[in-house]
Amino acid sequence: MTDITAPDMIESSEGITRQKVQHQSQFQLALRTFARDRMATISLTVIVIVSLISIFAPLLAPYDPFGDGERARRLLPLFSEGHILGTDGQGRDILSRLIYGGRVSLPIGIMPPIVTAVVALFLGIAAGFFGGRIATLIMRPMDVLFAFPMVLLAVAVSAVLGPGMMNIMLSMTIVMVPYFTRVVYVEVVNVRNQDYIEAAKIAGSSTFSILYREVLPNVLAPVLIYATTAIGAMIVFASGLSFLGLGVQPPVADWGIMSSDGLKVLSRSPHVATIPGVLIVIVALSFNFIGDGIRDAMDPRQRTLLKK
Amino acid sequence: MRKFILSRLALIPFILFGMAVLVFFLMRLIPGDAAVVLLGPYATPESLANLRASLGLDKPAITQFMIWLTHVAVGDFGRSISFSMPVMDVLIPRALNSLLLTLAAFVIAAGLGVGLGVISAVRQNTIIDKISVIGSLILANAPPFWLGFLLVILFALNLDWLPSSGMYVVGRPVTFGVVASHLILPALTAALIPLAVILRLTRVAMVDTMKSLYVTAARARGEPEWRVITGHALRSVLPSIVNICGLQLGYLFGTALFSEVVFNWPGIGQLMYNSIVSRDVPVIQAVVLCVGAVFVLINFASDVTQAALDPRARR
Repeated sequence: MTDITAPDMIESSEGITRQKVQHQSQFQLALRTFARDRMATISLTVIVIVSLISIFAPLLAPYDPFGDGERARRLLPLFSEGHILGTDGQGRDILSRLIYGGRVSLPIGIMPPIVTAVVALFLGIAAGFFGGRIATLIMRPMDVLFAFPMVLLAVAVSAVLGPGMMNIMLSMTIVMVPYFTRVVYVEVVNVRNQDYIEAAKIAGSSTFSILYREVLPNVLAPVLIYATTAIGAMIVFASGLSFLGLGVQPPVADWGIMSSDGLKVLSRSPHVATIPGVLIVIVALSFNFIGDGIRDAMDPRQRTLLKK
Repeated sequence: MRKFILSRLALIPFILFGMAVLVFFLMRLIPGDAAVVLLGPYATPESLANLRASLGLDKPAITQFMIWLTHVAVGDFGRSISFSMPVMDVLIPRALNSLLLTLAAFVIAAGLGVGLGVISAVRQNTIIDKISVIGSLILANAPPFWLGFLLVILFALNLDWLPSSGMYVVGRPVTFGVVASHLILPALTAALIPLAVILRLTRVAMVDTMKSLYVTAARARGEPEWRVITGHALRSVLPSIVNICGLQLGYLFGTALFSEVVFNWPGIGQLMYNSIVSRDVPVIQAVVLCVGAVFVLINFASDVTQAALDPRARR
């Protein structure tokens, strides 16, 4: 792998003789750096597998997750015959419910950061690039939202909207917008006074073209990193809202509800409450590692590792 | 320094006003007629009209807000619907219980977090460091209520060391020891996630500082290692640690909410939960606004402390 060198490395680092350089796009370089990050690739594999299992849940789940079919004797322990993860307080197969639970937990974790990122890009770029009154108009309300503890605000908004999958995603989006917008805003303010923006202005580029071609590419990386890490946090967060009864309603269950249902039988069968939590931790950790991997891959300084 | 404090202080009323606007109009978004939602489908027309009048629902929104705000400014949040007594009378005793829980949790989180963070930075790649790093990664990605379950399973159900619910034993005298034993598990549950974050950030900051030249210089002067660590390295990262802990205190409000619901701790988190279930809007408004206000003050205190410790932050 010695011949993978970013073209701009040759001038910048003395002592490296000019070797044959394979020209690669920034994206390819980032991809290669990511592929070399073992935790990130393992995590990505985990997420892909969990996603596929959720998508093909009807084909893979051994039992009906809602217990409409025949029910087992109530509360089978772990490693029971036919129910490898046992059954819950209503005799429903835990493995099947976990497999179906991903169809709720994953979208609830993934959608809000994506929507938030898009909204925050508009708000943050507008506030950061134009400044002045527009910045005040956008950033002051953000400060107010910031002033609330995140969980409290989300619980309050969810309480107003009522339970349900769409509402829980909406409330998580509302709560995250200030955080994302601030990330974008800070980045845009840094970029705004750079020489290349000035150069583009002098060259006669329209404002839209400057925003789209000069500003946006610079803020995309931090937002992407932030969003990936946020997905993990949101899966955990959503499970908390589910625990408070603000999430999806029975008989549909996400991993958070499955875990909190286990509270009723905690003394007899702790596995009902603990297993879904383990899955939540694994998935959340995986998104965290993927976020770290993307951060390192996007950072040109990290790529020097590839030189030798 | 004085200018810094004054400029920060001047912002607080605006933020509080913004919060009041948000909380008031948020609660108006509850779909349908608020009075019907509050009293349920079997309410008599008479009681509905009474409630509408007492809530001022027959007046325009801005007028309602101004009336509400003048009451809130003197601590009157109206009457709780499910408790049928003034909101503040419900809120204050519970707020004190929550304060106890939050303080205990904060002491655990900040104490253990900074302590373990420093130890694992100083003893890099030892067993302690590895356990701290992996443990904090797992904790920081775990649902708070689930951590509470784990603690209940381990310490209350299996070991039978500590009680798993409530704040005292009904019908028995409330002594310090009884409350303390009931406090440990909820406080630990609320503390674990902030602890993990504080540990990780402290460790990162300390690892960087331990490499810096003035630490080497202090060692070269022959200062004992503990003085190098506490007097030089820790001193220089202290402002950022204060900032981290301040931010985590806000997060702690969130984890405490879950902890209170899991352990039946009679605090405002549990009150909020019950009020959501019963749609007790005045109580929800009061809890959100009061906790938000406290949080604003804590942020202010954390900013000031940071500025006092680090001249660079005073700008």
